[in-house]
Parts: sequence; structure tokens; C-alpha cells
Amino acid sequence: MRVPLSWLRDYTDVTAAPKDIAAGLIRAGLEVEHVEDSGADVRGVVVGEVLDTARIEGSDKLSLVHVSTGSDPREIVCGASNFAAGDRVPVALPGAVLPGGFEIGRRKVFGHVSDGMLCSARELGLGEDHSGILVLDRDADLGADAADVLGLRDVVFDIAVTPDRGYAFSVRGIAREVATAFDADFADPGLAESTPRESPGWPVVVSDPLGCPRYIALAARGLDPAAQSPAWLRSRLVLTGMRPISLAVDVTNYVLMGLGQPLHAFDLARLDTRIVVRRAASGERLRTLDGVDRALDPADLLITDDAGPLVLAGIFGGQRAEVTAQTTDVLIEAAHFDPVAIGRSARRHGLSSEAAKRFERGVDPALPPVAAESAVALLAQLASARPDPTITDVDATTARESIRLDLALPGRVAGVDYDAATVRRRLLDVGCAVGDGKDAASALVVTPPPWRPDLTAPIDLVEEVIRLEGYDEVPVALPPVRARAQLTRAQRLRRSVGRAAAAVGYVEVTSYPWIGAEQLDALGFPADDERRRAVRLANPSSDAQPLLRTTLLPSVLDVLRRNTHRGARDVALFECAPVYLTGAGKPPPAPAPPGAVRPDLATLTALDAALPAQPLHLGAVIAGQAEPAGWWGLGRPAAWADIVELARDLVRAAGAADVAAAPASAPPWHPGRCAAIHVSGAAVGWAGELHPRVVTSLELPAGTCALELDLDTVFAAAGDVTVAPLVSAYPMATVDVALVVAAEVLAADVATALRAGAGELLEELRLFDVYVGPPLAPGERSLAYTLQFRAPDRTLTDAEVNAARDAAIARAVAELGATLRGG
Amino acid sequence: DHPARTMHDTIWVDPPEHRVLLRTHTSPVQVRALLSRSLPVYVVVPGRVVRNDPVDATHSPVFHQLECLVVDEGITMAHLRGVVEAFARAVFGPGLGLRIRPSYFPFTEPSAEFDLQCFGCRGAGCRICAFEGWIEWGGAGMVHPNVLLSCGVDPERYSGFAFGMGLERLLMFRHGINDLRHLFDGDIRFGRAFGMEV
Repeated sequence: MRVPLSWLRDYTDVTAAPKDIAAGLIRAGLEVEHVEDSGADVRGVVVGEVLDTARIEGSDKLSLVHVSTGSDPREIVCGASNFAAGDRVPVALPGAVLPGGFEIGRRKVFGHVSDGMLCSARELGLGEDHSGILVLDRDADLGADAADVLGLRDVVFDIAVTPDRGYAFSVRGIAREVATAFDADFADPGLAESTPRESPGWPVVVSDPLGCPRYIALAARGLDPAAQSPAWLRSRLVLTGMRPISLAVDVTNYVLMGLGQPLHAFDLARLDTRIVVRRAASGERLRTLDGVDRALDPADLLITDDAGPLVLAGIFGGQRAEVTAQTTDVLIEAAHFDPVAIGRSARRHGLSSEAAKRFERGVDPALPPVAAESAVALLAQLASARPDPTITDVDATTARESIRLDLALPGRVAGVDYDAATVRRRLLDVGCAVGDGKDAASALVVTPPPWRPDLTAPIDLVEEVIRLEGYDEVPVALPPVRARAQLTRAQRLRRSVGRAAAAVGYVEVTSYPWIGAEQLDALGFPADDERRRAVRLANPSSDAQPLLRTTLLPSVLDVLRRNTHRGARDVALFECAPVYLTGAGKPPPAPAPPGAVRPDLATLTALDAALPAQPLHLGAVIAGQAEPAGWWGLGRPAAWADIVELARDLVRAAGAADVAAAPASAPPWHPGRCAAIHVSGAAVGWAGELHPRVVTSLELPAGTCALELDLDTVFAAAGDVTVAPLVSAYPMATVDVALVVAAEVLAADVATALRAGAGELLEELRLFDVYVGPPLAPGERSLAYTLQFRAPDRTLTDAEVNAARDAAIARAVAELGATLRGG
Repeated sequence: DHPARTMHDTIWVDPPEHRVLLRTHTSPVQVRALLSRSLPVYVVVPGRVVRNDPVDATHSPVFHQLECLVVDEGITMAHLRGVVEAFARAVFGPGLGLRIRPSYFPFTEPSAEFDLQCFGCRGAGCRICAFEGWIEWGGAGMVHPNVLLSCGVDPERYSGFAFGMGLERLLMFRHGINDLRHLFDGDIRFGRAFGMEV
């Protein structure tokens, strides 16, 4: 809401500087976003008097005008002729600047030197009228600053009004706040003065009193169609951000901005008998003032006459009975409409007018008669209109209910000791009627004023008291923190896992949580892969990515590609974020809890059931060199063993000791170069090299490796406390064993067999060599292990060690068909 | 239907009639905390939020907020001011001015907003703060009694405050990040510069 200071000063005699007024409004909760010095874009335009005009030979439109601006007269060439000798007009002198940055200079036109320019309203930024020169009042001082005279030089407060303070969408509302903030007098322009008129006037039927609790129709006849809006009216409209259009419309907008009551003006001659306020019938249409032919919804409130819809009530006028340049008789509508109905219709039609904005947020239901009288008085003053002696007022509004306020409540909420007199005074400042409650010493009965529909509960009144006394007067104190203050286990583990990845060189990234089905195609997911069952967004940020991700892989691979396209060759990165999993079919709807009471267990369960599962995942990728080349030698390219090792590191960082990596085949990984990761038997994800088809279709570096882990499952499987190992100080015995097995036999399985056979005395075993080639047969390979034996309570004898070694070998031979090499 | 519901551009899960959406602020965690924890509640909740904003140098559809909720017996606005000021001092140092002013949120009453003195000009006015001298930091207020009732908490016995703030804007100021997209691009040259502790 843009409020000019000069208009504010019509209602309150505040003398503070604009900067301080802004600060006072901010302190009271009206957010002043800018304080503008308007008119700064007009310089060098003065009031001049027309001395004489003469047609220029050879032109049928141009004249040479002699004007005086208080000193020597000057000649100005002008294309308009709507003025005569003796008129005062705005003269832009050479060197003047007009809105838009236009500089005026002396110019040669048709053989004459034009020593300046006469200005139209549009050229001065006062609306669209460019049909002629803006003629000023005869009593404007010669040589005076025209921008000043026109009221363009003003301070304008640009205020962001919150949705609960509809009253602040008017100069009236802001003026009241300014007056309260500075303890100044306030002359409320919105208080009803009773002008005696007979009832009823123009016939009006309100079929929907809930949608339209009040409707006032007041006519004004005999408007001079040639009457123009005076400069002061235009400039006030322009300063508040409205466009001057025509006198009748300008008057309604002036009242809208000044009081906050939207008005509508009908051309009385084009109205058919009576006005009916009703909802639309299905199939009805309305051509609105912008020329758009709109289909109406049965929930739309309409102003109609017997010939059909006239106005989308409270939102936008129709063309049929619109006021035109020929209109002489006008019917002014001042009505009160239901905020919910207006809000819904405005959104349905995509029309957010100044009227709709106000009705949605709450207009004072006592304003319509005041606003109608104001409008008609202005039409009388400016266009010689005759107000009708009758008025129609269909009033179904009800009185406000009072609120009982415990006098101690504001102080309890603020932590300040407000005395009873202070609480009373602030409520009176707001405009409430304040009476004593039955328990007079401890409670008040407060009736909020009609312009405050947002005040409905005691807590609302509390906010008024505290904000008017000042939030900066509330003390600063720390609460007693009576609860445990620490990270949760999941938060701690997530940080450990993240640090573990970063410690081995992976950079953490954050990407958007949405993907497209094409990305899942590129990863080679089959049609029935459960990762294809994604939550779909109704209005996604990007049409190409309408799904919530079920896996982090598309996102981290996208980020990898962005890095390599920017020239990076060695990239290791990870992301830790939830994925969104949904079952087959659509999820059930979320119930609407009743509010005002804790939802029952069934409702809470249904609310959770309506949400997808959101497990925390970690996705990591590596491409290029795992160890860079340098003066120390060749580097080492990243291989899938690196990403499997990362998986182990991450799981261990979460406190899980029992990690297993078994060969697996799953898209998007390369079968044969992919491991499924298990923690304590639970499947937690995969790690491996990506399938070459995936690498190609996603334009990734050859050999790119990736992993994805379900961290929630990892955390659940990880233990809480590390159990200390038994460490024996007795000597260790080492034995090397080389076994020949078929190539497809897994080293992991050989190790498992050796362990099982060797028993408790085996402390550790390590694979130190893999050999293929002669003298082995093709399809065979040799795996060499170092076995480390130790007992907790004694030095082992050679016999014990050999027995354990033999038992290990025997197991491998029996289970896997291994043969001892060299034997 | 309240116009406050249109204040954020919400991304809805299909179909929107099922009333499931991506949260536009971290304030819903207040309800989760009150429904799942016993009183008193003293929680801090960082989280990701989503709005249908375009992607440009100062906007991102995904960003992060931090929410603080305290519900206990005898909690007042003085405690809200105390916690916010202590936090501001800890993060920004003791010299930076902090301003509280009335505002509006549907779930707090009284509602407030906190502003920080502009880093660039210390209140004198500059381009960073659009010559206001102050930068919006976050929203706050006393938890509305209706919210307490909806979570089964007796507003006659308990009161609370909540405070929420966006994290990216101040991160950008503090570290001289000139384009918000850097935080969501994933360029490893960007992330690597920050090391393991920020």
C-alpha cells in the first residue's frame, strides 16, 4: 500500500519527519519497505500563463504560443489547442527533465524556435490523458514549480501489508496507526455521518445475504460529461499507484484508496430495472472490462440486473453498464462481500484487483454508507452531479461479539508487567470499546471495531497491546532449558559418515530432489524395477523432472557430468539426502484433522500413511584418477575396488563392524564389477563400476564408479557400543597356503572356507597373491593366503599350527574343489 | 482459503486433492515435535524446504531453514528475545545490531520478524540492504494457542515460542557467495574450498 504523506496529514496532525514516521510504523508492525521522494523525476517545469496563440503557416495542428512564466515571455510551439489566453499551463523550460528521463531543450519546429514545451497530463506522469495540454487552476502562482502545484512532490510510504491487517490497505488505516504511534490526533474519515435520505432508492435484491451482507446503492444524476479529474485528484491517485482514467472512475478509486472501501460505478441509463446480487447460474458468462469473455462458476458472486451479469462482485466490472465519456447518471455501489467467496473467485479467474485484495483481507462493514456519500459528494463538487434523495441499504450485518480479556494475559505473554490502565488505553487506541467484566478487577469486556475482523480471540488483543507498547520494550531473558540438549544418534552417525567420505577425498554436494523418468531409463532400470515407483508432483518446478527421486544416482551422476563438462578430470563426490519411496498404486489421501484438539491415533496413523517413506540415502561417484599422477610416478585410475572400499569405510564409520560385500548384478552397475553390501545380514546397497551403456548415454567418463547406501538401514544394523577385542600377548605363528581353484570360485568363499576349517586359533588371514598362467590350466587360478595363528592363553606348538592349517585346507578342498598348489 | 496460504508457492504431490505437499518452511516441525514428544520441548530443527521459485542468482526452489521451538510452563516473549539474541551473538559476534518488529504468521500470535544490521554498511544504507540498513533474518512469535490445542497441549498451562530463519542468504553474505546456484551446482571446486568445518 502506497501512502502519500500529504494525504496522511489530512487525517492526523503528525509533525514527525518522514524517516521517523517510517520507523514508527515499522515498530507498530506495518512494514515500510521504501520511503520515496516522489516527483524527483520532474525538474524544471513551471506554471506559465498563455498570453496568445497563433496558427503556424503550413501546419494544420501546430500553433505558436506565447507564454509568460513571470519574466520575459517566450515562444513555444504546441500541437494542442485546448487552452486560451489567460489559462495557466505547465511549461517545461529548456533543461527540464520529465518522467522517463526525457530532457527538454530548445528545438526548431517548422521554422520556429520552440523555447520549451507545454505538457500534457501523461507527459507529467499524471495518467494516460494526452489529448491536450493539462490546464491548471487559474490561481496557480506564475513561475511556481508545477510539480509542487500539481501535488506530485510528496513523500510516499510503500508499505507491505500483512494479510491479517486489511484495514491497512487505506490511508485511513495507516493514518490511525501513525496517530497512535506518535500520540497525535486522528480525525477518522470513516465514521458515519448521517445524511438524511429516504429509503429505499434504486431497487436491489440480495439473494445471498451470506455472500453479500450489505449492499448500498446511491445515485447521482446530471454529471457534466466534460468534467475532468482535477490535478489534486490525479496526483493522489498516481502517488498511491492508481491510474487516472475518467472522473467517475477516479472518484471511486480515490475513495477506495482513502477509506479502503471498494466502490463500483454503473451508468444508470444502461441498467435494466433492478439490481440482483446472486451467485452465477451454470453456463452464465460475463465480458469483463478488459474485454475477456469469462465463463462463470456457480460459486461466483455476481452483481446482475434482469438482463444478466454486470459485475464479478467485489472483483472486476463488466462492460455492459460501464461508465463512459457520455455517462450523465451514475449509480454508486458500496457493498460488503464475504472474504472467502471473493478470495475463491479471484483465484479461480486469476484476477487480483485492488477491490478483491481488500475484500479478501477484510473490509470494514460499517464503511459502505460513508464511502457512498463521499463518492457522491465528490461527483457533486467536481462534476455538478445531483445526489439522489433516496438510498438503498440492504443490511444483513450483525454486531461484533465481545471478547473477555484477562487483564493479566498481555503481561504473561510478554514477560512485562502492564498495568490495567495501559491495557485499556491500548485497546482504545485500536478502536475497541472497552468495558469492565463482571470480575472488574481482573478482566475486561472488549468489543473490537468493525474494521478489525482479525481480532476474534483474547490472544489477538494481547498482540495489539504488546505491539503498541513496543516489542523493543519486552525484556531479554533466557529460558530455563529443562530438556536434554544434544544431537540424536542418527544426526551423529550421519556426521561421522559424511566426514568419513570427505576424509578420503569425496566432496559433498546438494542437488534438487526431482528426476525425470528418462533418467531412470538411462540408468537401465527395467520397467518393473521398484525404483520406478516414484511420487509424482502436480506442479513440478521443472516439467522435465516431475518425479521425486527414488535413488540418488541420477542426481549425483548429473552433478558428475556438470563437473566433467566444466573440465574436471578427477572427480569424487557424494550426496546424503532422503529418497522418496511409494508403494504400488496411489498413496491414500491425507485426512484433514479437526483442529482445536489433538488428532486421534487413527488420524495420526492416516496422516503418516499418506506420506511416502523417506529413508536417508548416500550416493557417491568417482571418475578419473583415484591417485593423481605427479613427479612421484604414474597415478592410479579409480577402479570399482575403490568404491567398494568406500562403502566399507562408510559403514564402519557408522559403527557397524559386520560388513560383507558379495558379487551382485543390478542396474546401473556393470555385472561382474558390482558388490551388494550387507551389514549384519541386512542389505544396505550396492557399489561398483557403472555399465558401459549407462556411461555412454549419460556422457560420463569411462570407468565411472558409483555406490548407493540406505543409511537408515545401516544405522539400524550398526551397534551402539564397540565391543573390545581380545588381544593376546602370546607369540604368533604364520603359515602361507596357496590353493588352486576354478577361476569362477570367489576369493571371498575360499577365505570363508579356510576360516571355518581353521577354527578359533586363526587370528587373521590375508590374500597376498593371485596367479593365472602356466603351469596352471586355463580356467584355473591360484590364490595365496597368509594365515596367522595365535592362542589367547599359550604358545602354540608346531603340531597345533599344522593341524589347524591342514583343517583349513581340507575344508577348502571339500567345499570348493580346491587343490593345494605345489602339491 | 486464507490469503496467507498463498504466501508461499507450494509444490504439491499429485493429486493435490490428497493434500500432500513439499514443505515450504520448517514450521510444520513444530507440530511434529508437539505431537511426538512429551513436554517440555526445547528443539532445534534444521531442514530442507521447497518452494516453486525460479532458479536464479538469488532464488532456488530448494533451500534450507532452521527452526527453534520451546514449549514449557511460563515461557514469554522475553525468552524469545533472549534466545534469538544469544544465538545472533554466537553466530555473528556481539557488535551486530538486531531488531525485532511486529509481523504476521498464522501460527504465532504475537508474531514478529527479526532483522540484522547490514554487514556491508553497519546500518548506514547500501546496495546490499537496498539502503534500508537492515536485512531480514527470520520470523518468530509466540506459538498460537490454537496450534497448542491442535496438538493436545493445554494453552492455559503451557506457552511457547518459535523462531525460523533461512540459512542460504546469510551464508552468502558471510562467505561472499555471489550466486546462490553455486550451492546447488555441485562443482567440486566450490565445495572443496570450504574444508570439513565451516
